[in-house]
Amino acid sequence: LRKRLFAYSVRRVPGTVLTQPADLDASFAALGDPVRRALVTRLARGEATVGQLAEPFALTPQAISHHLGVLRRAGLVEQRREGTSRPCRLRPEALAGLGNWIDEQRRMWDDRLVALEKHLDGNGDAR
Amino acid sequence: MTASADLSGDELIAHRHLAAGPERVWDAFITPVAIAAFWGGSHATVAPDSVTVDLRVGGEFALTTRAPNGDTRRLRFVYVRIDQPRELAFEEHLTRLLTTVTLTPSGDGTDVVVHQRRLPPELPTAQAVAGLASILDALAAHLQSS
Repeated sequence: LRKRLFAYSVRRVPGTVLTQPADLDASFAALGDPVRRALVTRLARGEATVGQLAEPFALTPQAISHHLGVLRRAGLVEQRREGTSRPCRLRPEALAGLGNWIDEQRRMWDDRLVALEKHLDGNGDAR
Repeated sequence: MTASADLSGDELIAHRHLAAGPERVWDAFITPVAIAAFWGGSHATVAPDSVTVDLRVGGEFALTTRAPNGDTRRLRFVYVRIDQPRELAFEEHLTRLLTTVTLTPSGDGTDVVVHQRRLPPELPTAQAVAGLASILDALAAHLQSS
């Protein structure tokens, strides 16, 4: 399962700076809203219908559907048709992609600060 | 688990003690030649003439990285906070990723701490504060049991 979760990795040019997938911006934008973050948290416990998702919120099902649409277009959530209901579930590979991207940021900054240290060493004690 | 992300906001990205005073480290972050020298780390190079610095809140800081295979990428940031020589915060113009570099005198040098904030910090429930890593854990548990 872990392999499945993290089989997806953010595409990058080998050995170089990260190439951001186009949907990464959409993912961050989608998660930039508190209601959508709460929906993601709820869906992490299992799939749910729009009605079930709307329960904890003082929002109409229409408003929830709007937020789900944003999450769906960002690739974070998928919805299937089951008779008259349309249960939603998270797409783990998309969330794993976000996690990998953040890890990549961390590696790049570590690498950058090592280079900064070398640069400062090379410049002597100018100050 | 690979994901150590936190939906709640600021996340410690990197920390390093440097044997140079805060003023020197600060200068390295705002001087094009110095930025070119370290920004690419070991994974890319940055030509000094590609670096532009407009050091004012709202001003742009930009550079071009060149990968070993020749691929180039223009990176652009906007300064959000400038508190010389303590704190420099800038936002990447595409992702709106906010990076905050904090310099603190420590011994004979400087502690450099880098935080990044990807998402607005206001979270409605304690549940949401659990973060992306625990969301992934919960998701894994759910998938295993279903």
